[in-house]
Amino acid sequence: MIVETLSLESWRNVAEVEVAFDEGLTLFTGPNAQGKTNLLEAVFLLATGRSHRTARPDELIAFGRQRAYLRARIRRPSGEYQLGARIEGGRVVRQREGKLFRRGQDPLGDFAAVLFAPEDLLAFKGAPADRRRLLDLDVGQDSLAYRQSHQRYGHVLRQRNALLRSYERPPQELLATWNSAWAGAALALTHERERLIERLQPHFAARSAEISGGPPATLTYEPSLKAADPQQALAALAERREEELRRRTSLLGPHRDDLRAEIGDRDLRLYGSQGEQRTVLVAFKLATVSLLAEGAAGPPVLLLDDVLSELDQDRRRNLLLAATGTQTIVTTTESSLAGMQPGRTYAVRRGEYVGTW
Amino acid sequence: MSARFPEPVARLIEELAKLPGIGPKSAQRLAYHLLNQDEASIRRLADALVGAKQRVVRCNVCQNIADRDPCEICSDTRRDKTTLLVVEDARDVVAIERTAEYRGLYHVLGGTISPMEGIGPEQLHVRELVARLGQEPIAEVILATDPDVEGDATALYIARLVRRDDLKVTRIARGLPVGGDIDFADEVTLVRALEGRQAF
Ligand SMILES: [Zn+2]
Repeated sequence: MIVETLSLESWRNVAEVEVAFDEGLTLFTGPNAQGKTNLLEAVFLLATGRSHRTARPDELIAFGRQRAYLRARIRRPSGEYQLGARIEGGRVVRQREGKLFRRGQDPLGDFAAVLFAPEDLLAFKGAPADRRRLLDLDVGQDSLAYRQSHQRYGHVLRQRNALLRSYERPPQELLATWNSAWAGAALALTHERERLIERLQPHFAARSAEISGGPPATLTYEPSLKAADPQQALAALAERREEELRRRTSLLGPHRDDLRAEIGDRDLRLYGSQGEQRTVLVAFKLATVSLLAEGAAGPPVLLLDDVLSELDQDRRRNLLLAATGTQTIVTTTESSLAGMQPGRTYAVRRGEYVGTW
Repeated sequence: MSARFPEPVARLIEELAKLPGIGPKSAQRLAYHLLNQDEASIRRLADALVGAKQRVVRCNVCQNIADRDPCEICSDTRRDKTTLLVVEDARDVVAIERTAEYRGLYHVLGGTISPMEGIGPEQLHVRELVARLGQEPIAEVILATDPDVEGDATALYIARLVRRDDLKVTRIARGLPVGGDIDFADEVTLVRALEGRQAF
């Protein structure tokens, strides 16, 4: 689907603005720190209910204001609808045609966005949490079951950790209860991740070969919990029991999962060159776009936040070419796009957007 | 923030802001709304507040709030004394009574187990539940806590705690929306969740 217009009110440094997007490529140019990223952040939040930059929604509200509003017009083959968000009191509430939905509960999931920002570039070399973030925020938009099991596991984990923190030896029956809750939620999320990565893998292999011109890269899930049923999960947990009680935190489960990318036999967490790291990330983002495009929503919106300047001419061109047919919104400090012609261009300065097309 | 209001108004705002779900802004709005009423209606409100607090007691059997102890439901001889429905709070009892489908007794826990909020079984009416099971002729316990993380954990905890050969323990069906509250569910959904209950 296509996001046709977006209006922002009291959002970051923007008092009030409405922008229209091209159904192909839209470019936002201007010096750093003028508010280009704020706009991509808004599109991403409409799709996911989250910001990629902050876990504290109140930071999204303009200084001195009580609440921020976003409103977008979304076009799909079957017609148009309004998607909105209100940020107030530390909460994000999204609505579709005036009907509210909570995160992880959007029944249709028919608006998706893939965001590619500079901090993603080294994800395959960085900490496992960076790689889980790629899965949870981007790829996870593909499946409501994934989002729900992710949310539920996070909730169970916070409760179980609180229990481990509050007692030196938690009461036996209470710990057993939260262990069972953990086992169910951990198995569900592990299973969802397995399925998601299995479906992402062929897209990833094809895209990486395309971009590098070399052999395809592979993606492998490394689950923390290896168990077929709750009994096995609880047995695995029992082995970590003393260590968990000593460290007073959960040591097993999807919050410790990892993802391995390899080219040939080389694990990119250990051996990748900077060029390979970038290739793998571009391939991962494009694979995510292809995967989401197969789903109910159709192609997602691709948001490129200042990453083009981080890529060499070839990767830049390949990325934009591969994104043809996908609505793409780009922010950059440069004014040209490796020969690609944007449908619309906006100059951004201090939260003002001046369009030309 | 309320320093700029006259002292009696500031005090009113302060008290209102202590209520759940009322922020400073809503407290101010409510305070000015109340001050615009005539004195008779303010008196009625104040009487209702004090009267509710004075005349409401906790039923020592089911732990529900009531106008007498034991409450109307616990002392009703026509109710089925062999079935016990365990809920989180008083509002759930009202929601299920509204369906007019359930004829058994209730037990109100007063919340759910939540280590993050420091709530364990000792903070809930779990001990009273266990005591009832030892004294009353209960054959089935239906666990009807909300189908969210804490509600599920609480149901599981109780199921393990009361396990006994001659006692049937069931959990209401997952017909409720994910993360949904029992006291918000419509009556048809509630009846279906009750009918579809499954053995733990
Ligand atoms: Zn009673």
